[in-house]
Amino acid sequence: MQDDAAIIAGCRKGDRIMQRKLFEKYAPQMKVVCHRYCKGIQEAEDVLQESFIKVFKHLDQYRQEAPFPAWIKRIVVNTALNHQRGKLYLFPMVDVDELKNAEIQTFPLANYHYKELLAIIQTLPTGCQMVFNLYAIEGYQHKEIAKMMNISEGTSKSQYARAKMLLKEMIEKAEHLRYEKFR
Amino acid sequence: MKNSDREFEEEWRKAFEQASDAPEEGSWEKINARLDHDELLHYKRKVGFYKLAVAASVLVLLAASLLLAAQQWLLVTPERQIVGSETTMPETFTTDPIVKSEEQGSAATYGRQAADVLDDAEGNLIPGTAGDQSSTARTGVAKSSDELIDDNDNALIAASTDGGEDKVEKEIDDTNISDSELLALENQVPHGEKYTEALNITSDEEENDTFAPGLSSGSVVLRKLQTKPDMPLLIDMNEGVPETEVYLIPMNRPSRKKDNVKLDDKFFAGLSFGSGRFNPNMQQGAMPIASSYTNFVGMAANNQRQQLQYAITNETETRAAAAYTYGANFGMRLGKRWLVQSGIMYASVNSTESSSTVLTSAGGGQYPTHFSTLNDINMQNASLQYSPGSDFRNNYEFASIPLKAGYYVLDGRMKVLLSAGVSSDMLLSNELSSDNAGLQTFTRSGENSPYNQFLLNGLTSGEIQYILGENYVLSLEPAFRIALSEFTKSEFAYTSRPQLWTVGAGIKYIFR
Repeated sequence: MQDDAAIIAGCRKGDRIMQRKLFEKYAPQMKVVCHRYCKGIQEAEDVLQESFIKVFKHLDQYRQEAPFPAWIKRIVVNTALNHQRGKLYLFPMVDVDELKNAEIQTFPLANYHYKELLAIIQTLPTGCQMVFNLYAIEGYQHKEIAKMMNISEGTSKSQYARAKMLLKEMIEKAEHLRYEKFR
Repeated sequence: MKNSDREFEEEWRKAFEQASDAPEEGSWEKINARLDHDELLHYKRKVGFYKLAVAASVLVLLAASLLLAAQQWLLVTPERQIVGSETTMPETFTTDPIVKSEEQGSAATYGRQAADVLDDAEGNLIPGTAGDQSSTARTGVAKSSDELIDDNDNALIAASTDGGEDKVEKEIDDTNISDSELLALENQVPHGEKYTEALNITSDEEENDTFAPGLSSGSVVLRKLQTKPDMPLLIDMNEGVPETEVYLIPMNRPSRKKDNVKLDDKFFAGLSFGSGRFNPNMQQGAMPIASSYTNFVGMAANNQRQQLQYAITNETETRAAAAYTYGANFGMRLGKRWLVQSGIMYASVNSTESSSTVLTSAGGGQYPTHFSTLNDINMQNASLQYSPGSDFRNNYEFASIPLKAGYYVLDGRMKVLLSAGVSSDMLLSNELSSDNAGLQTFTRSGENSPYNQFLLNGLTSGEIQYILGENYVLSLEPAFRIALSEFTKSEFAYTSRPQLWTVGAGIKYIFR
């Protein structure tokens, strides 16, 4: 398999074969990212295609300051956020101070296939889904999320807290179902 | 942050760390089509820009030409008339004596000053000196006056009357004019202009009529400073009127219009040959894949059509190749600078195509894979085969009728002609052939062709001409043409606006 540098160089020249190679190499990982930010398969597919078109168009701007997969992922995340932006009506959902003391019981997720977890994430309200992905999985800070989504930091925190609560409920439910199944 | 929070996030992060899911089938094809579309838009914008640039260049050329033509038409001789009443008396007059009788010494001053005037105007004359006196000045005037007049169409003649030439010599030989004399002179110059310089005319110059036609000897050139410092004025002092009586008369310019020269080389005809590069500028859309194209070796059956589509669309390349033109032309000069020309031209132009597939007809013959073969009705039962390196030549033959307007930016024995215009091209034939790959030649023309039969081009050229003897012109002509209309028929996904660069050589015969 060709290394990224050769593929990137080819893509920059507009070589369609290299562009295809780049797509084939990174699309599977990025498709899961798209799924995490979207509600359905078709929506995720649209975001994926749109993201790669942006990647090819803006490849000249890649300066190798970050690893290439991280650069692509950032484009995918931004594209997904833009895609969802029209659907977002975010407001502080719970009092953040109250949530500070709320105990979140953790379950080992290793027993779950990522597709099961995707299905759970996709049931979250859109705002909670975005903030949860950005904070818990992508590792952004609330301040950065607030800037990215044009919301207040407090809203980001409360959306995240709400997402955690909902996820906990859903995982508990899933655990219960599993228990029932194997009893 | 509590540890449980960190654990929670870490759990989720790990869960998706290695997750991957193959994109749906056809995902890349959709991206590919979008990229094609964007490239096409980019190309269209680029062509639009070039069109604007060409249009702007033609407009600038036309505007500049009109301006030049207008300037030359405006060089019309004014009527002779007295304008003395428009003048005022100068403050600087006291420093430069012009006319004073019975006193000596001013000729040197006049001579020097007049020559300086001419120096100023022409830049190439030898200034007079005190020792040369008026003769130097006369030389200067005689040598340059015609040009001076040419350059100063609104020059005035200041005519004064006095005795004969001797008297004038005396009068102007004066370097010491008293204030009272100057004042008297000022009062006698009607509405006097500001004069600082003067020059007398000799009888030789009068005979040769070199300085100012119709002006008699004894005239003196004055330099008018108030309005146009370089404007020469003439003063005629031979008419027997009081010596200081000065009239200002517009100088009669020889009635000659530069751009109205009778042309004895109005019509011409010639032959030309050119060679260069032709680029069909083919912008790929999606090649049609007929259901019968199933014999695509090495491809899995389930995604064969996609693989075919990919191979045809992405592994087919069009490159510019040689072009040759042969033409006969004729034209007519519309003026000293302008001409129009037309003619007829035959062009045989080529592009090189490379493909990784070949098309095998029902009869077993192998043909190049090209959108014109894939769209051909006779190829509907053909099959496609993977065959890398199947290069072939795409030849087009055109008959063309150009119509150009030209402007001579340089018009001597060596001429430079800039031209712009349009041409109407008719596609005579199109042939796909290969020397190496053993492919059959594929020829289509007329209704079966995927190309429009007529094509409108914009063209521009710069022609260097050299006059050979009385009647012949040799020419070298770099030219560029670009299609203004679509070359491919609208029902095909492909678009093409061909470009042709040539350098032509030719010979013309001028009918004198």
